[in-house]
Amino acid sequence: MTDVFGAEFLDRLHSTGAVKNPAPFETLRTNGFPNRRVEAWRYTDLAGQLAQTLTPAGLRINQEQSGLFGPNPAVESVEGDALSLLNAAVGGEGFLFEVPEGARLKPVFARFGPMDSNALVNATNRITVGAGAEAVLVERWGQTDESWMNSDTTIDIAEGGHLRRIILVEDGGAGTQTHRTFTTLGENSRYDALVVTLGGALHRIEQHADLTRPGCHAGLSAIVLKRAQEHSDFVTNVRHLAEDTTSDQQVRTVVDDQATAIFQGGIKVAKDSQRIEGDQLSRALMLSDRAQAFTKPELEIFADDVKCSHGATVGDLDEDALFYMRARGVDEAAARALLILAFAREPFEAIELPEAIETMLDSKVQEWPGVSGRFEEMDL
Amino acid sequence: MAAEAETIEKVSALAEKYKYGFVTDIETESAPKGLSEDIVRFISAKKNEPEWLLEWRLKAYRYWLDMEAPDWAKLNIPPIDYQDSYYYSAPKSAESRPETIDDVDPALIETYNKLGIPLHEQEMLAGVQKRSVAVDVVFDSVSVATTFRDKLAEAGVIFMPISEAVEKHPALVQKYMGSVVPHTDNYFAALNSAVFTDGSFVYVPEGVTCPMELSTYFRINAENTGQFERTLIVVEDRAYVSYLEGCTAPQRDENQLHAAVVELVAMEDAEIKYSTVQNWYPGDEDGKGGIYNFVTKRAKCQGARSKVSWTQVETGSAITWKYPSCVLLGEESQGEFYSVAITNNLQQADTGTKMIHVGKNSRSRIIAKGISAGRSDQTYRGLVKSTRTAKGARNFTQCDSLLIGDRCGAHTVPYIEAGNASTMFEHEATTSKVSDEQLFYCRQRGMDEEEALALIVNGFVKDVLQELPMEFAVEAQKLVAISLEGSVG
Repeated sequence: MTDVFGAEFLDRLHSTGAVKNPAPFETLRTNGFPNRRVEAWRYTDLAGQLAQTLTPAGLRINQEQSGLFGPNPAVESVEGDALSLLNAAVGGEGFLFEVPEGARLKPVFARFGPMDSNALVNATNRITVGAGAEAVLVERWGQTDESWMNSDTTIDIAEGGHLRRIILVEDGGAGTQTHRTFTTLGENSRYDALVVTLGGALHRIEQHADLTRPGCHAGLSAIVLKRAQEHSDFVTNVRHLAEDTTSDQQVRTVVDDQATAIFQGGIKVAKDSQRIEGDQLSRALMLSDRAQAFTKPELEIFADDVKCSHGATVGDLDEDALFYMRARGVDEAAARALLILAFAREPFEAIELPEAIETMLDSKVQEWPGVSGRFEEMDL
Repeated sequence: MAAEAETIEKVSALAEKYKYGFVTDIETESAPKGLSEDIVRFISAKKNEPEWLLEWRLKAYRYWLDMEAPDWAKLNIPPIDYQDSYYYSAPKSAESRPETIDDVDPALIETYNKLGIPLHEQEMLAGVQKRSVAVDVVFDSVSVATTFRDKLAEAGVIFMPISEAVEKHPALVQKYMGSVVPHTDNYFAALNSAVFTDGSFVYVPEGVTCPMELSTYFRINAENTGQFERTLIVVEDRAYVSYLEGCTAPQRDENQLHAAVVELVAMEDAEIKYSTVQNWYPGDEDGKGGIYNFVTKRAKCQGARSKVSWTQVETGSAITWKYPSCVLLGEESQGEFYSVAITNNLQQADTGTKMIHVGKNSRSRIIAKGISAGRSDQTYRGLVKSTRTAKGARNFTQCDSLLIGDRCGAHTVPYIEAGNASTMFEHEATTSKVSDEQLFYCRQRGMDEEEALALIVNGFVKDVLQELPMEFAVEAQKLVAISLEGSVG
């Protein structure tokens, strides 16, 4: 079985004694990790990650308000792909976040991450939102060099509940982050996720949402800014399993240098799920000839009373807009910065981002080669 | 719901059946059933092929043996027994290739008259019919007639069955065959390379605008027979050709395999317009019978400013697996793809295109309209890609799906891969149903429901149909209506 992809990685992991659940481990050991011939992984290669020697470590949680996050006992069996199996095999403990019925929470901030280099952190998290409850959760998934964070988060939102989640996947040099969220939505409930992914050697963020009851809505969006040789794979999978459900996906990608950004967006409408609206728009801005932007929307529709659409564009900065600003005395570097930021931020203007994330985005754009932060001081 | 389903069934019982489903009773000669190296040699010997071509076929056959059928498409393909089919079948009368139309077996002429394919040059030349189209007709495994050859030869255009081209223009065939779709390309292309029987060969020399439309009409007649045709079109600098392709087959309970390969080569400033109306037998209301249509079509836009335009109307076949593509190598070369695909009953189609931008400032445009009705399933699958060299590559894609009835499926899977910053790709897609308001409006004005639906659907596909040559467009419009019969409830 030496041709199993990632066999050596798994053997090394086994020798550390970190494997707690033999069943998922054996399945993983037999099937291996997905290579690029697997459709869902056609643009992302885990070879570099699997060549690393990593030390298993636990998830660290820094929270602003204490007591909101409890430890979540790891699940023993999972359905899902190899990375979920890896998580289950190691039995990564994660956090538990419960919003009681009818509660209205102020935005909750938390930061997760390993503190050590070369750590392999696995976490299984759970979020429940009670009936009629509302919560805003701001998560920062930080990392240090050459660590690998891998998590599965399951979310249940009860009738009329609303969860807004802003997830900042932070720049961490040569780090890897692979996170999957599986959300189940109840009647008239709402889930809005905005993923902001910056930097990192490899980020693969998957958002799966099952719209199981009428009247629910899922919004799965992302801002992706990548430079150098960074790699990002944003994957969505919305399943309209009940009638009268809606979904919306907005993705803005900026790639420069030799970075690669991928968006794989799925909308599935099950048989008999009538009166569905599913929208998707992905736009990519390419700033270098050596950068790559791949988009693969996927619509699978088995009901007829639906309105589904998707749009995708790929292009360079708008020369006319640049010229317009330069003609008004904005120097080129500042104009570029402004345009990049506006491009990334535009569909999310209505969302009030926490200041920390706003600052992070700004500074990220201002670090961009060929741009400068001076527009901040300008009176535009 | 139950009442609706009942209406659908009632209507479909009344609907006009596939009108090309008849069989021509004609004496044929077939190769023994099954597939082996001997069969490949048999076919090659039948066609008096040179040694290099036999070797080429055998290489492809051996390669095919180690391949696996592709399973990535959203198609449910029952296992195919490749030994349970004939790979060569020809009317006996075609054994000595007829020199003129008058020598063609009257039974065949009759068949094509029934299909509405005119083989009478005299009438057309005498002005009885206004426009002339040169036709190459392929019946099972052989080409039985090619019209207007002399007239084309005057202009320097070569239009003949590929088996004849192998004899008469071996250098051209050897140079280009397999240059766009090599035998290693995919499972069905490999199979085709091993057992291809006939098809058309077109060569348009430098600076020539082909004086008439060229057309090939494919007919599968014999039972349990696969058709594996191969078409090769080479258009030299500043030349132009418009080529049409049509196909039908008798109505049978068994599935029949059709695995074709079409290769187009366009040189500098050359233009090829390739139109297809695919109307293979789609199977009956319960999905019994029908053609498996597994086709590889690809164009190489080799020269600067070359242009290839694919237009397809796909209404037939039980299963369609087809992606006419353009490799845009030349600077400022252009690729176009206009498609209407209609699936009804239990038909399945996974179709789309690939536009691969390599040359600077190459442009492409994709308009794909899919209509699913009955219990059918349809997928648009496309790739738009630019390499790092394709500076200024530009693509616009629009793909729309229309659903008729709540038991069908419509899927869209476009792949968009940008490899340099000056690439500009735009893609938009929608999926929806026929609006009740539109239907109501038409009904109110006295149209019955089927008429109203045909009108709305024809409006939906208008952008594509208008790309077809005129006489085909009229035919296609009728075909749209017929294909949808029995789909309203």
